[in-house]
Amino acid sequence: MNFTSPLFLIGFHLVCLIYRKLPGASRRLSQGSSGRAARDGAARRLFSRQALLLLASWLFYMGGSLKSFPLLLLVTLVTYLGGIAIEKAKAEQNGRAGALLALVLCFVFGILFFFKYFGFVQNIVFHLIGTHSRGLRLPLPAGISFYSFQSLSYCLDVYRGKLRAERSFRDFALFVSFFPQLVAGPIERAEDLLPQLGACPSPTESDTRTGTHYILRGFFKKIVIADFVSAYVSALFDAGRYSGPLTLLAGMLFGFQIYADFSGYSDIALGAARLLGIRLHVNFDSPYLADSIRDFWRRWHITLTNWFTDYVYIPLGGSRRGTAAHVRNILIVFLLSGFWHGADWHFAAWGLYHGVLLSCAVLWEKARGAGTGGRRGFSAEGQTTSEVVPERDAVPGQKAVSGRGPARLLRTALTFLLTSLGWILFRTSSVRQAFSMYAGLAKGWTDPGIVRAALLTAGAPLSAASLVRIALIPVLLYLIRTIPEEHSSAKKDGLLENNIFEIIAFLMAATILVSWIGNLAGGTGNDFIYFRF
Amino acid sequence: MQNSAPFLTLLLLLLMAGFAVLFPAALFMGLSYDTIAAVLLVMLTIALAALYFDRKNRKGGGL
Repeated sequence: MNFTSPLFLIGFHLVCLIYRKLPGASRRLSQGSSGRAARDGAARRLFSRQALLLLASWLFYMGGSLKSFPLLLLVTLVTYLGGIAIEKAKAEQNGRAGALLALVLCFVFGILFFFKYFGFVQNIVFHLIGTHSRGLRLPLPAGISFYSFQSLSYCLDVYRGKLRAERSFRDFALFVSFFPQLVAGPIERAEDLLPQLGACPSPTESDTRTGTHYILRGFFKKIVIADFVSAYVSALFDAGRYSGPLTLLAGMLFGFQIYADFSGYSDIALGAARLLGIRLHVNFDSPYLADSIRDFWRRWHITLTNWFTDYVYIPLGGSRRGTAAHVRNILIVFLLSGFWHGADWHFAAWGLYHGVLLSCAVLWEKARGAGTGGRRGFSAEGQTTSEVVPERDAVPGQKAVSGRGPARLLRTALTFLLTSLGWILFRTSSVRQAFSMYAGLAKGWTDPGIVRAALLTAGAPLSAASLVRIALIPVLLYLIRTIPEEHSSAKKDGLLENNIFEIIAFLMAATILVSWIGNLAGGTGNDFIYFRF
Repeated sequence: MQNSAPFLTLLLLLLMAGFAVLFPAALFMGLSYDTIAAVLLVMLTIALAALYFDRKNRKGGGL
C-alpha cells in the first residue's frame, strides 16, 4: 500500500488512535522484574499493542500485494526457525551452526534470486542461444529486497553471537513486517528494533511533534518536489536527441527527484513509527552536501550501506589486506549494491561507476599517504552496525558544519556533478541509452533550445511559476533538512520563535494540498521509485 | 509554549480560514495550481530562511 493513498492515511490514523487507547506497557514491566500479577498484566497489554501492529502490518502489505503475502510469511517463518536452530546448534557446539546458516542464506537468497533475477538470467541465456522466447515472467513481490535483507541480518547476528534468538514468533513477525519500513526500508537491525517492539512504548508529546514534522516533510518531498519534477525528468530522458545541457540537467533533476522520493518515503516511515513511539534509523543525511564520493555514501541510503559494510565488505577483508584487495572489495560491494537495486546491466553499471570513483579516491589517498579516515562505509576496519547513528541521536545535516570555505564548496559541487552523471546510468532503460546521453555531453552547449524543444514536445510546463518551483528545489531541500529534530530541541523565547514551526508546517501542508490537487488534475502522481526494488 | 497556545490557535485558524478563502478565489481568478504552489513555496522559503538566519545569528555560524 502506498503511503500517499487515502486508504493508508485513514488506516494509519485508526491504528494510531487504537494504539494510544490501549494500555501502554512500561519498559520496567516488560523486563519482567515485578511480581507475577504485574507480569501477567504487562503480557496482556503487550499482546494488545503488538497484536494490533502485526495485524496492521499484514493488512498494510496485503492491501498492496496480496499475492506476495505468503512469501513474506514463508521468509518470516524460515528465518525465525533458522535463528532458533542456529543458536541451539551453537550452544550444543555440534558444528552444525554454519551449515544451518548456509541453509537459511541459500533459501532466502534463492527466493530473492528467483523472483528478482530469474528473468534477467533467463534473458541472458536466451540471448546467448539466440532464442526470442518471452520465457517465464514473474512479478516482483513488494519489498522483497528490504525484508529479506533485514531478516538475514538477524540470522547472521545470531550466528555471530551478537544477538539472542527471538522466541516469540509474534515479536519476530512484527520485526520483519513492521509496516512503516516494510516495503522500502530503512533496513533495521534486530538488536535495535526488536527491544522497542517488545516494549511497545507509549509515544511522548515530543514523539508526536517530531513524528508529525517528519511525516509532513516526507509528503512535502514526495508530492511537492518528486512528483512535480518527474514530468521534466521523463521529458528529458525520453528526448531521443541529447545535448550537453540536456544530459546534465536530466541527471541533476533526476538526482533531486530520486532523493526527494526516497528520502520522502523514509521520512514518512520515520514519522509514522515515531507516532507509535518507535524510533527507526535515519536513512539520509543531506547527501548532496557531501564533499566526496565516500562522504556521499555515508549520507545516502545509510542503512543499506551499513548492511553491505557489515555483512559483505568487512567479511571480505575490508581495507586490511592490501590495496588491491581493498579496491577489489569496494568493486564487489558496489556491483552487488547495483544489482540489489535492479536486475539489469544499467544498475550494475551504476554500482560499478560508484565503485570505480571510490576506488580512485582510495588510490589517490594512498598515493598521498593520507589515512582513509571515515567513521564507517568502505574505509574503516571491523566497525559494526552499532556505530550507525540512530534517529534519536542523529541530527541530520549536522555534518554540514564540518569544513567550510571555497575548497569544500568546490569539492561538494564536483561530488554533486559526479553523482548526477551517475544517475543517468540508474534512470535510463539500458546502458546503450546512457552512453548515447553521455556521448551528447560534448555537444550543444551553444544551443540550449534542444532542452526547451524536448520539454515542449513532452508537454512539460514551462511557465514562470514552474521555473520558480524548479529553482527553489535545492534551496528548500537545504532549508528543511533539520526541521523535525530542530523543532524538538528549539529554545522558544518570543512570539515568532514560538510559532515559526507551526507557520512552516502550515505552509508546507498548504503547498502539499495544492500540489496534490494539481498532480491529480495533471495526472503526474507516481508511486515511490524504491517500491520497484 | 503553553502561554502562546491561544495565540497559536488563533493564528492557525486565521491562516486556515485565509487559505480556505484564497485558494478557491485564486482558482476562480484563473490562476493555475502551479502559480498558487509557487507563491506558497516562496512564502515557505522566506519563513525557512528567517528561521535559518535566526539560528545562524544565535550560534554565530551555520546550523
